[in-house]
Amino acid sequence: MTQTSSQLSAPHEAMFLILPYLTLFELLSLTQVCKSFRDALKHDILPWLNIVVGKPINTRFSDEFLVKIMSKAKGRLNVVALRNCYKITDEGLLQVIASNPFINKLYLQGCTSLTIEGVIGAIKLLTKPNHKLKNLAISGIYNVKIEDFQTLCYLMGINQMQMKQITKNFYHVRHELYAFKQESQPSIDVDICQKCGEIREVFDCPRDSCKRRMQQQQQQQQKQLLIECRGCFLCVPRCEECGVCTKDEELGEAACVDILCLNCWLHLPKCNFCNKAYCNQHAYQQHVGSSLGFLCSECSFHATQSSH
Amino acid sequence: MSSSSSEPESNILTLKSADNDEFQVEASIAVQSTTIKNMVEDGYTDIPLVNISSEVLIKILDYLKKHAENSGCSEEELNEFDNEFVKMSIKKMSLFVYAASFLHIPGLTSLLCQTIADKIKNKSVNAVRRIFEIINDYTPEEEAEVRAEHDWAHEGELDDTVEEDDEVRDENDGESDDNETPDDETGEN
Repeated sequence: MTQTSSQLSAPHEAMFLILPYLTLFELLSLTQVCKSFRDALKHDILPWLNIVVGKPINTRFSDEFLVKIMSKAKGRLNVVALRNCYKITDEGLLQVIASNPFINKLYLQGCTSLTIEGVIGAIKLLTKPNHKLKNLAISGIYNVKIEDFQTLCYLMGINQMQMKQITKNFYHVRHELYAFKQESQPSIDVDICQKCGEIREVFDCPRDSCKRRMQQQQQQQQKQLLIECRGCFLCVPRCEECGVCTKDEELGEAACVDILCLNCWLHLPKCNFCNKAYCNQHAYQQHVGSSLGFLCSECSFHATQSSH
Repeated sequence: MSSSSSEPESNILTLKSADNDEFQVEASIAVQSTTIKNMVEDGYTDIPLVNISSEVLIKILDYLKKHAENSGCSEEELNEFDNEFVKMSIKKMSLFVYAASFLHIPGLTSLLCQTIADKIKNKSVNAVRRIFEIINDYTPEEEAEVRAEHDWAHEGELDDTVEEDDEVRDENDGESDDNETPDDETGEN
């Protein structure tokens, strides 16, 4: 399965332009691909100014590696995105922050070894005069109280009412890593859930009728945007595929643990036996047999059991 | 390639490709390229683009027209257009990245770069070489040395990502790879 060597060559010049769009895992892989990439990454500081750590290295990303990688930016770190890096501690974070005062975006979702006190300490360092910090993400960090949230908003100069009106946060696109690159991100990813009072990610609704009601309330300039379905996921369950609120709605049966609205369920492929559908994220769990379609993992398991 | 409109006021530029073809474009559309915008502000209406072929230029002009402010396209239409736009081989896309970068069209550059970057997301080193058609110029010892520098990043995961997506080949690419099975790209978790 090897290609003829006449097709292989050194990387095209344009390949070097994609370096800033790669997550850390790919950057490190590229150093091994060929010498040109290795040299480019050694001598060019630009790709190391925006560090995005996701799967699969998030599980192995410890303080030691954090400091090692971030040092390549020589103090000019711009974007630091550590998604589900549960090994990172306050100490490691502080070390990086102390030597990189001009960080623009700091994403720490799911970094569950961090304490909110540690994060606030880091933000204090990053919000000195002439700072550049614009975006922060802390969903998944434990024990965030309302006072902590308010301290962060104060430090970052966030007007909560304004923020709610400018940027919409949708549930079904919450995983998109390269959403980091876009300009209009909310300044902070969490909010006070109107229904339970906890500090969590609060989602807007893409459903047309809900959007209309939201617009009406904005036009009437109501002081409190009390939208029925604007809340955290625990208070307002949502469809995994399209993000609409699903309370009082008929649901499609899902083979994975996620929620599917009837509309999305209709369009998704279903298990041959039990007719449940997988959301697209979990479609890899389909057991494809010799015939058309697939079995969900549960039906597939029972099938092998009964054949004994 | 747009014919000049009948309004005498609209500023029409003439873009000349590397193949010496000339294309008439409204300035209001072409200035989405900062490079062209700067030349227009310096008073030029003939824009020579000696490093961009006609094929690439035509498609880029399509992009500019679609993404112009007065095109009246909805966000969904633009997204659909962008998705169709990037359906080409990586080799071809490299040419476009180069052109978009030279012309300083940020939206297009981002779109192309992100598309290419996504193709090697989570892939093993060997997979990347095959996808980008890059020759391995390391000796085994050198390769081991580089790998050791960041060994922690590749512990155990390499095997999972060896299943490769096949490159989309253009019709006029000469070589045919016997073992190529045209697969749809599988969505990754």
